[in-house]
Amino acid sequence: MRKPRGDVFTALNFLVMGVGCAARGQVAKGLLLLAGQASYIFFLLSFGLRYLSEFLTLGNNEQYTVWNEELQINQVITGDNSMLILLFGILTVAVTILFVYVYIINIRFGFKALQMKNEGQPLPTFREDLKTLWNDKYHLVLLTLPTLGLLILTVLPLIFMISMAFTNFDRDHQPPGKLFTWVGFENFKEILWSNPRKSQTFLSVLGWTLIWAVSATTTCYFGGMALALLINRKGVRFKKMWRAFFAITIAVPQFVSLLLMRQFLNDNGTLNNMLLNLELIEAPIRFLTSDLARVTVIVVNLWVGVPYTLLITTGILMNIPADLYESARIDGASPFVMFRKITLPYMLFVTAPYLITQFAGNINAFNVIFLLTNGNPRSIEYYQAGKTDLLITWLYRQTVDEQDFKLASTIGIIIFFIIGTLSLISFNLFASKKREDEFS
Amino acid sequence: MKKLIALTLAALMLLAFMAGCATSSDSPPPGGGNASPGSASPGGAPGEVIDLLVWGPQEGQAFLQKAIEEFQAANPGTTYNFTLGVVGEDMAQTRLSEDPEAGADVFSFVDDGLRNLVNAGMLYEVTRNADDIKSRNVESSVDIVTLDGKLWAYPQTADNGYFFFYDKSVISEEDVKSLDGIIAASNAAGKKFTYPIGVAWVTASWFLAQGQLSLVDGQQVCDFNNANGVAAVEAMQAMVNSGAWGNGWVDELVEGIGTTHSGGVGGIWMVADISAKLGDNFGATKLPTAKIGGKEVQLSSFFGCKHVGVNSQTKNPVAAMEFADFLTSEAMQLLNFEMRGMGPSNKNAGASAEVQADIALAALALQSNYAVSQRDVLGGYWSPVEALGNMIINNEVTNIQAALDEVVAQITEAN
Amino acid sequence: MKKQNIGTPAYHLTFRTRAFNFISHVALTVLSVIWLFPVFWLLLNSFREESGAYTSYFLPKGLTFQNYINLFTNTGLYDFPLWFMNTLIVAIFSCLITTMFVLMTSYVFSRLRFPARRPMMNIMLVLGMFPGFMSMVAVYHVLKLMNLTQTLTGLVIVYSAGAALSYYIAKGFFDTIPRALDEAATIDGASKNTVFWRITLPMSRPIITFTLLSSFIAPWVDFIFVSVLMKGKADKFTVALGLRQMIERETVSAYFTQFCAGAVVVSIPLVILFLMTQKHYVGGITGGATKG
Repeated sequence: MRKPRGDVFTALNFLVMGVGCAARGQVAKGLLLLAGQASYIFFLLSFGLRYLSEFLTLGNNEQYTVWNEELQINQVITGDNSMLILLFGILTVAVTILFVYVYIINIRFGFKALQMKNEGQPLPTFREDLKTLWNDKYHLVLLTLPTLGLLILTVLPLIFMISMAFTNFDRDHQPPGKLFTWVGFENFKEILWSNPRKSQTFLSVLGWTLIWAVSATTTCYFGGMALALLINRKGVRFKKMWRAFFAITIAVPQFVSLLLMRQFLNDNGTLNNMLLNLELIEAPIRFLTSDLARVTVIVVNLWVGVPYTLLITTGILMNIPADLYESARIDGASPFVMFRKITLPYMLFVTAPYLITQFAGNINAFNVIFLLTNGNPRSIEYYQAGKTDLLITWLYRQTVDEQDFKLASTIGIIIFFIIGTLSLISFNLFASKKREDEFS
Repeated sequence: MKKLIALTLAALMLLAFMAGCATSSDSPPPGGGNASPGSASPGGAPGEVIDLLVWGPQEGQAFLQKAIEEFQAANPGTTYNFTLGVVGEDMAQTRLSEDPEAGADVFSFVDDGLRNLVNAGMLYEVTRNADDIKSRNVESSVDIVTLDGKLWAYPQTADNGYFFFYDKSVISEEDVKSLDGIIAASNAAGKKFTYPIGVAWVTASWFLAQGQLSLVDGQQVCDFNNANGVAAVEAMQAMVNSGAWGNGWVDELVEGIGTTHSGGVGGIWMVADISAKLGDNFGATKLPTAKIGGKEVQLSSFFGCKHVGVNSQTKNPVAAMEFADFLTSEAMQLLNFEMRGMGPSNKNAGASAEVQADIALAALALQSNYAVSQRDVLGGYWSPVEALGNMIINNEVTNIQAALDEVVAQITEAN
Repeated sequence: MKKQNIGTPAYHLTFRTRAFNFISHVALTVLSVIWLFPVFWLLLNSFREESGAYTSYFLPKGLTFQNYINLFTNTGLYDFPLWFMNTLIVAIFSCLITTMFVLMTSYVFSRLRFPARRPMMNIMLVLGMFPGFMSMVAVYHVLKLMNLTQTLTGLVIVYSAGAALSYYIAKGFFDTIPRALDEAATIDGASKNTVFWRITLPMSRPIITFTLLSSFIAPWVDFIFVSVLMKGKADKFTVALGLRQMIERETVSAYFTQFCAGAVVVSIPLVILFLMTQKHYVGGITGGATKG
C-alpha cells in the first residue's frame, strides 16, 4: 500500500487509538479502538504492572514472622507469591502482545481510511463493516469465542507450565513461604545428562511409554475392528444387542470399573481365588505387583478401549463398497486376503487421524495407569518410578508427592515436544489433503 | 465536526489515563506483599463477625459440626461464621498448596505432610497455650509436631500406625508373640498371614527393628546398607519363603481373614471389617518378634498422628488457634473417638475406660512402645524401599548388599 | 448392513457357513460375558446386603435394594441427589457449549479460507495433545481472577473452553458435505452465516450427536479438575468426586455397596443416551467420511 501523506490526526493516531478512523468519519470504529486502548491501560495500571515489574525476579519479598506480644502469636507477614507473579506476569505479557496487534491494526485502519478518503472513495460505514463479518470475515465471528477459550484456559496455562521448567520451583522453594526464581536450562541439563540416575529413569520410562502407546493403540484398534467385523458378519443375528453389550461398558465411569478390576486382579482377589479353587495354579498370580503388571495393564486397557473402536469402526466397515468384496470373491480371494487387501487399507485411510489421536492419547493415558497400578510395581532400577509408570503418571507423582514442580514441567515439555512432533509429522504424512481438496 | 469528535476522543483518552493512574496508586504494592492478615486487628474486635473455614474429611463433617456448636456455646461473647469444607486429611496439603489464600483457616492433616507444610511456610506457629498443648498430649505426638524446637500443629489423634490382627481360632495368644509362632500356627491350619513388605511404610519395621533409619537432629541418617540391613533383608526373605506368608495389604487381608488368612498387619481403619468377619475370634496385638541375624528382635513400626493446623495466610490467626485448640481438647478427642473411632492423643482421653476397652487401640498403644515417628522420613524413602520389598517378594534379590546400596543411594539422591 | 445385503442373493447356507455362524455366536457370547463381567459385578455389589469393600467371593450373600434407597434418602453425609443434579447441569451446559465450539471451529477450517488457517489447524492439533490436567493449578488461578472458583459456571468453562481442539473429526465430516450446496445457496444470496446455520448444521445431525454425546460424558467421570476447582465446597461437588469420598480409607467398608449403587445410577443416563443414539453413533462420524 502506498503511504499517503498524513495530517495531524494521522500523527495523533499513533498516540490515541481510533483517532485516525474517527477523523475520517468512522466514529463507531474509532470509539471501539479507543475503548480497547483505554481498557488495556486500565488493565496495566490496576493489575498488570505490578506483576510485570517483578517478572524478572519472580518476587523479592519473602514471607516472615514478627512476634506479637499482645496476641501472643508469631504474626505472619505475607510476602510475594512467585507462582502468581509468574502466571499473571505471563498473562500481562500476553495481553500486551494482543494490544500491540490491535495497535498495528489501528495504524493500518488509519492509513487505509486516509488513503480511501484521498482517493475519493466512500468509506465503509460501521454497518457495512459489520456486514462483512457475516460473509468474507465470517471466520472471525466463528473463531473468536473458541479461540479465546483456548488462549485463556489452554495456551496461557501451557506457557505457565513451560516457564516453570526454567525455574527452581521445588520442595525447597514453595510459595507462600519461599520464593523461586529463574534458573535457565538447569533442569533440562539435569534430566537429560548431568544426573545419570534421573536421565536413565527418564529414558526407561520413555521407552515403556512408547511401548505402551504402540501396544495399547494397536491392540485396541485391531481388537475393536475384529469385533466389529465379527458383529457385521452376515449370519450374525441381534447385531444391535451385541453392540449395546459392549457400549454399556463405556457408560461405567473408569474410576469405578478400574477399581473393581484392581480388586478382581489382586493377589487374593476373585480371579486368583477362582483359579486356586479350580487348582489351575498353586500360588496366586501377581497380576499387578510383578513385572506381569505391564501385560496386565495392556490387557485391561483392551477392555477399556475396544468398545470405543467398535463404535467408531462399525459404520466405516459397513460403508466399504460391497462390490469390492464381490469381485475379490470371484477372483477366489480368501477372507484373510480380502481383509489385508481391501478392509485394512481402506480403514487405515479413513481412520488415520483417529489412530494418531489415539496414539497421542495413550501416551498421556493417565487414568488407566493411575487408577489401576499407580505405576507399580516400583523398581530400584528407576528413580522414584515403577515398571508401569508412564511419563505422565511419573510427573504427576513428582508434583503431588515430591512437590518437584520443576522436574515435572521439564518432563511435561519433553513429552509435549515428542507427541507434538510425532503427530504433526504423521498428520501431514497422512494429511487428508487430497480428501479435503476433493470437494473444494 | 469530525475533527471535533476526534479531539474529544483524544481528551477522553487522557482522562482515562489519569483515572487509571489514580486507581493504580491505590492498589496494593507489587505481588500482594502487604501486611495482611488483618494488620489492624488479627485478634478480632468485639462485636465483629469472625469468618473461619474448616476442612475435614466427609465422614468427619458431623463431628466438626458438633465441635463447632460446642465451641460457639463456650464462647458466647464472639460471633463466629463457620464454613465447613470437605477435604480429606491426606489431601489437605495438596489443596492448600494450590492456593494457600483460599485454604481453610483450620484443617486436619496427616503427619508426613508436616515438614513440607512448614517448609513452604503454610503453617502458623502454635504459640498460644503451647505449654498446655504440650503437656496434655502424649509425648510422641507432641514430638511429631515439633520442628526446630517450635510447635507447628495441634495433635488430634495418635492412631496412624500398624499392628497385628489375628484370628484367635487359628493363632493362640502365645503364638502371636513371635513370627515363628505365627508361621507354625498358620502352616498347621493351612492358612496364610500377610506382612506387606511391598508397602514401604510396613517394610520399614524390619530396618527400624535393627535400629536403622535412625533419627539424628530431625534428619534421617540413611545408612541401612550395612550388615544389620542385610540381616533384615535375609529375615524378610526367610519369612516370604516360610510357606505361610501371603502377599497383600488391605484388600487381601480383609478379603481373606477368617477364611484363607489367619492374620496380618493392618491399621485402625480396617478394624470394622475384620472384627465383623472374625466376631469373637477377633484379636489384635503388637507386631511379633522375629529372628533377625540370629537374635529374636521385636519388630518395630512407624508411628503417625493426625493433627490440626492453622493456615499461615489466615485473616483471624487468634480465633483460628483458639478453635484448633478447642477441637483437639480432651472432650473433643473423646467425641472424635465416640463418633469416628479415632484414637486420642490426649493423655486423659487415652486413659479413659472406653478407649482402654478398645482392642485395636490397645494393640496400637502396645506397639507404640516400639514405634518410631515417621515425621522425618525422607521423601525419597518410599519408592526405592517399595521396589526393594517387591524384589524380595519376587525372590529377585541375589546380591543383598548391592540392592541396599542402590536403595540408599536413591533415597539420599532425592533430597 | 444394507449395502452388503445388496450384493448377496439368497443362497443355501452351506454347512461351512452354518458352522462359522455358530462359532461367531459362541465367540460373541464369550466376549460379551468377559466385557460385561465387571458391569455385572458392579450391579451385584450394588445390591449386596452385607457391607464391606473386599470380598473374595463373587455372589453376594444377600440381596437388597437398600443401597439405592440410602443413596437418595440418607443425604446427611453424602448428598448424592445434589451431586447428581450438579453434574447434570454441568454436563448439559458444557456439552452444549462444547458442541457449538467444535462445530464452529471445524466449519471454519473446512469451508472458509484465510491466511492463518493452516498454522492454526496445526497449532490446535498439537495443543490437543497436551494433557490438560497438568496445568490445572494455572487454570484454577485464572478462574479465580474471574471469581469463578467454587462455582458450577467455572466448571462448565473448564470442561468446554478447550473444545476447539477436538475439531478434527467434525472437520472430516464437513469436508464430505458437497460444496455444491453451499455454492447454490450463495448464488441465491445467502451469507456465510446463513449457509452455516441453515444448510450445514441441519445436515450434520450424526456429528452433532457424536459430539454432544462424547462431551456429555466428561463431567460424570472427571474427579481431578473438580476437586481442584471446588476446594472442598461439598455442595458444588459432582458425582465422581462425591462418590470418591465414599471410598476413603475410613469409610470404604461401610459405604462400598452404596458407592457401587451410585456408580450404577451414574451409568444409567449414559447407557440410555448410548442406546438412543446408537444409530447415529454407528453410522455417524464416519458415515459422512465416505459417503461424500
